[in-house]
Amino acid sequence: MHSSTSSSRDAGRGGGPRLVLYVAIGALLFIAADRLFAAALWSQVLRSGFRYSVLYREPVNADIVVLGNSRGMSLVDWPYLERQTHLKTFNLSFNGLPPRLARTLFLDYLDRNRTPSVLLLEMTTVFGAEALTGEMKLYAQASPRLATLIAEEYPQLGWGMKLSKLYAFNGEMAMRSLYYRNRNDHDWLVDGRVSEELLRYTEQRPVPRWEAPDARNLDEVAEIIRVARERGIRVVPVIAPYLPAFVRKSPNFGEIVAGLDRRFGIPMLDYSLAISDTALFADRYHLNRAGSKAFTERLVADGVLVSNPPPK
Amino acid sequence: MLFNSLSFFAFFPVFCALYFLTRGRVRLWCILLASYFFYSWWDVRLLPILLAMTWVNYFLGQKIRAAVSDSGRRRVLTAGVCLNLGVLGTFKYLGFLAGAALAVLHAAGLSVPEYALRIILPVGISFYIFEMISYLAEIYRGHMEPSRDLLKFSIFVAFFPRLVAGPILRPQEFLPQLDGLRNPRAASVAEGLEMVFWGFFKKLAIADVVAGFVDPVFNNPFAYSPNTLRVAAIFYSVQIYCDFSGYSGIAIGIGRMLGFDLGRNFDKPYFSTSFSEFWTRWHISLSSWLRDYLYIPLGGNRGSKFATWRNLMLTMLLGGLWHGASWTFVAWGGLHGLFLVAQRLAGKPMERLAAAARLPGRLRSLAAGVCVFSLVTLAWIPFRSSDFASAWHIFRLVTGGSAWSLADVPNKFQVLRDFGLIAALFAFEYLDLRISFPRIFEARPGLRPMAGAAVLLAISLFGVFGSHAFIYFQF
Repeated sequence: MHSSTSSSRDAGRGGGPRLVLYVAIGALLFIAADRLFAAALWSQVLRSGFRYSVLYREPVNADIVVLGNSRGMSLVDWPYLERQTHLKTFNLSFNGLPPRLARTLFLDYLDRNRTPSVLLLEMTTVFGAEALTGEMKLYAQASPRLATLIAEEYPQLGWGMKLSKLYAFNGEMAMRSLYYRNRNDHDWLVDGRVSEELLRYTEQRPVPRWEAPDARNLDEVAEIIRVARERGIRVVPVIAPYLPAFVRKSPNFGEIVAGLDRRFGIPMLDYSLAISDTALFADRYHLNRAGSKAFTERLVADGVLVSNPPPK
Repeated sequence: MLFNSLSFFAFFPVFCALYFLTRGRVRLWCILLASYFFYSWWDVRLLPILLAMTWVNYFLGQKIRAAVSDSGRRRVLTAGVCLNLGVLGTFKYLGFLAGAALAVLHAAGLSVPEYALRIILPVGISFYIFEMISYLAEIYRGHMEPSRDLLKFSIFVAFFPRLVAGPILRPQEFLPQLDGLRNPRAASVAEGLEMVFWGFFKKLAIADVVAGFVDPVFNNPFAYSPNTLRVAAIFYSVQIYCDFSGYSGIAIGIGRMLGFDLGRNFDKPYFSTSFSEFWTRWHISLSSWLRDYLYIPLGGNRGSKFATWRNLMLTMLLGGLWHGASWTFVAWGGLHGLFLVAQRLAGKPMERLAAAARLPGRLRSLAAGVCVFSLVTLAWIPFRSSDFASAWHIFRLVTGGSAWSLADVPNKFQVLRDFGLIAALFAFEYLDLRISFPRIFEARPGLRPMAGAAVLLAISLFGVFGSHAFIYFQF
């Protein structure tokens, strides 16, 4: 037992005012340091080359906008695509990007930039969950639309951010933005190669059925497509490659794709089996760096992305 | 009601106001009713079990004292222990035992209809049953008089800060604290607040943070690379420590703020340089309970070497089973039993070897510490895994010969942040071992507000606020 306690339970009540004073000083110190650190960090976040820092700092005026979840991030090799097509590209994708957040980011992009000519939309984003929306609290102070979305999805986050300004920097977005403080994130692709273990596992074990996408997610993606078309943007709905065995063994992948065709009234560009070399995958869902480059070449070769003549 | 939930943040100030405004037996009633309210928040159906066990053990305690002969006292004690273990067994192990029996029958080719027992597990039952067994045992041993006050005894069983996940209280240490209960000193409140803050930091800014990596990996280990599994195993080792010691710290801190001493449950266990030392630093209230009421009554280390090994193995196997009705927990306990036996076998030869190699003391301690942490981490694998197939798969890949690298580990940012937080925690604990922060705060109380503000800032910046349940609630 703790030795101090027998004395701590005696009747002595001295020190009460001092305790209150310490608590008050502690609270004031917390508030002051919280505001100070938050202001310092925000100035660094805004200087970053991270995609969302760039989005909320300055116009990009890209020709091609890519939108999707983690599969959207590894969909194309961004610098390679720009070199191949001579079209300025901007990738708004992020790991686990849910459709409602995707729509918010896309609308924010349109408000701040010249209208792009192509929207390359990775369609498996319809399977997204809302988990990432809370992470975007970092940029809520730069976007009223984002702040509204977060307040609706996570009312408690709003309270947290009032209590502590530093709380906005709690999460992956702040770390990413600080990591890319002196450079852009255009080369952020998945490294590594799918393991033999996972290849065997995928071959040997059954692949579970795909669950139908959430109706609200479908509505959000439909809204993205509607807005893009209204602005004259050509929408390219793509399904990025999966590890071939994963798709081949899926009992209902074809039904899911056909369902998306029907729901959006446009045929999906189903590239799910377009890459057969397993060395080009990082795991079952994502192309690796070499895979992204190979797939970029494929998209260009297929004429999906209209290229500009090289600059003179 | 979880400590890290909004409902607790509403409950606790109201309770404190009532606690500090009342005196004497009114205050005791206030503690008891608040404890029952806190407990019922999960499921009010669990309360009658708690009440019934409280009353039965209260009267059993009186009966032991009233028995005229030693054999009579022993009979009442045996009946009490059997009753307590019977209740625990019914709620915690009946479904598990029935399942195991069915599996044996199926294996023997007997056709038995499939069924599953679904018995609700009352929160905290493993903790309060053990407390009541120690109450009966201490009266039997003549170390204490039975409580003559049902109100105080009920508080001993139900005191809310430690009701659902310990620390396991000793009646002879807690019950006297309820006599002449007065307001705590300001220093005690300050110490308690510091423990609560530090406990929340461990829970919210470390345990729940690394859980974001650990959970998906352990839920589907076949989909991850060996290096990812290694990171997940290390993180789980830290997660369970920070989760449980964080909870204990909050519980003990709340007790301290109210003027109670609930003992100590963790003492930087990952700085242990032997397994026996580890068990004096990890879940101290359970390990000392097992030592006093199981290992020593079995004979402890008083018999032959073989008897000592058997006692160690039995104690650790039952300690594993205490955590839950699963063979994976038994395996965890069995591994720790083996570590303790192996330490007794290899300890002295290793010391002689190290002395012969003239290794410096610090290097020897570091090597021993790394070895203990590594093996403890490996033992957590079956503890966390959902079944033996998963545990074996993880164990095989983690200990396999593939190169160590972070290249194929997903979410590297999170992983690096998490390693950074863990390094900071261990650096802080190491400093505390060397210079003792409580002593510094005592000498320079002006540092307390700064330390408190720093911990709050760290929680703001790194904490996960999703009201994640504490791991030990399930036990």
